[in-house]
Amino acid sequence: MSGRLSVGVDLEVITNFYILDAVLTRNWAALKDALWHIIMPAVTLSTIPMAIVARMTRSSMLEVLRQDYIKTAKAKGLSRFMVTFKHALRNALIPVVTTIGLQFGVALGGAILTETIFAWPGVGKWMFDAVMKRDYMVIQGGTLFIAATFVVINLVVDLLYAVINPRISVQ
Amino acid sequence: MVTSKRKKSPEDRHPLLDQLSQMWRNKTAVAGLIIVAGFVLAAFFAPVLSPHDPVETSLYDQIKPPFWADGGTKKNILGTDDLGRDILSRLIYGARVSLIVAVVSVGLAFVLGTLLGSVSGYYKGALDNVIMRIMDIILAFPYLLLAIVVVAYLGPSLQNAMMAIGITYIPRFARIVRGSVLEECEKDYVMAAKAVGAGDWRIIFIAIIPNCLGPLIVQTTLSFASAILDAAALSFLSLGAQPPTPEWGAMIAKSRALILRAPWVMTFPGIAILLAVLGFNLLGDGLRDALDPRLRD
Repeated sequence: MSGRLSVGVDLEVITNFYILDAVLTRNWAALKDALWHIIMPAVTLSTIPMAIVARMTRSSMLEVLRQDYIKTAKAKGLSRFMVTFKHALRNALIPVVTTIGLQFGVALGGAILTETIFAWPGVGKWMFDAVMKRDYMVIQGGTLFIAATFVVINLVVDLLYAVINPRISVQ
Repeated sequence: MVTSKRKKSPEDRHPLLDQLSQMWRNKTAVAGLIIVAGFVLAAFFAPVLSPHDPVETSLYDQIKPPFWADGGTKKNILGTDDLGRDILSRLIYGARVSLIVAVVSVGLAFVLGTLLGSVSGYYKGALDNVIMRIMDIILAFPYLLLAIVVVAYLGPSLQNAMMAIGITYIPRFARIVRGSVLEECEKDYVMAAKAVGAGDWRIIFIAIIPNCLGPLIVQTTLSFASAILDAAALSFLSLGAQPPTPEWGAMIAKSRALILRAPWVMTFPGIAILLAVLGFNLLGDGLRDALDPRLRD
C-alpha cells in the first residue's frame, strides 16, 4: 500500500482505515502522517463537487427564498441569519443532498485521475489497472461494487429526505 | 413553429434566432463566446499563428523558461519542453486537436443520440423501453471508466478516444431528444402532418426535430466542454493522443515529472484546457438561459 503512509511509520492494522486505526491504537505520529497523506488528494477531489454543490444550493435557495413562509419568518422579526440558515437552507437541502449523494458515488469510482497522480490505491486506479491488464474478474467485480454502492447511497439519501423534511415520511 | 411566442418583427425571423439574440445581453455568455471564438480561430489558423513547428525538437533549447523569466528568450515566448519543442506552438496546434476531438465525438453522440431518442419518443412502446434501458445501462457505468474500456478494447489512439467519448455521450442526447419528442408529439402540428399523409421519418426529422433544437444546442455546447476535458483525461492516461501529437492532456502527463524543475511546461497546457472548457461552459449556460427557459436557474 503506497501513498497512504510514509515509509517507516509503524501502525497496527485493525480496520485498514489508517486514520481510524491510528486513533484506535492512540498512535498520534501515524495519525499525523496519515492525515498528511490524505489532505492533498482530498482537496483535489473535493474541488469539483464543491462547485457543483454550491451551484445546486444557490439555485435551490433562490427557489425557496421566494416562498411565502420566508416572508412570514422575516415579518416575525427573526434575524437574517435565522431565516437564511434555519428556515430557508433546511427546505433547500433536498436537491442538494441528492447531488451530494451522486457526487459521493462519482468520487468512489471515478477518481481514476486523482488516484493515479497521488498513487492512491483506490477503486478507480484498481479498475483502471484491471482494464489495462484485461483482468475481467476485477472489472466485473469492481463495476458491481460501484453499482451496489450507488444503490446504497441512493437509499441513504432517500432516508435522509425524511430527516430533513419530516413531512416526507417513510411508508 | 411556436408562433404565439414570436415577437412582432417586420422581417419573418426564425424564433430560435429571436431567442438567441437575447444572449447578447448576458455578459458572461458573451465572454464565453469570445473565448470560444479565440479557441476556434487558433485551431483554424494554427499554421499561421504558431511561431515554430509543434513537433520539431531542438537539443539546444531544452526546458527554456517563458520570456519574462530568467534565461527565457523571445524566440520561445512560453518556453520549451524537455525535448526543446516550443510550448506556444504546441498549445496552438493542441487547440486544433481538441477542437477535432470535440466536434467528432460530440457529433457522433449528437447523430446517434438524436436518432435513438427521436425513434424512441416517436414510436413509444416496447422499442422505447429497449432503447432507453440500453441508455440507462450506459449511464450506469462510471463514464471515464467506460471510455477507458472502449479505448482498451480498440487500442489507444486519438480516433478511438473520440469514438469512446462519443459513445459515452449518446445517452444524454437520446434522453433530451426523447423528452422533447414526447412533448412535441402531443401538439396539433404533428397531427396535421399525419393527416396530410406525411411518413414517419418526414414527421420526425422535418417537423419535430427542428422544434427540439433549443435544448439540443445547449447540450451540444456543454458537451463540447466535457469532451475536451475527457479527451485530455484519456490522453493524460496515455490512452488518447500518442506522442508527438501536441495534445493538452498528453502535454501535462509528459511534463508531470518536471513540475518542480520547470513548472511552466505543465502550467500552460493546464491553463489552455481551463480556458477552453470555461469558454464552452459559459457559452452553454448563456445559451441555456436564452433557449431553454425550463432549465433557467
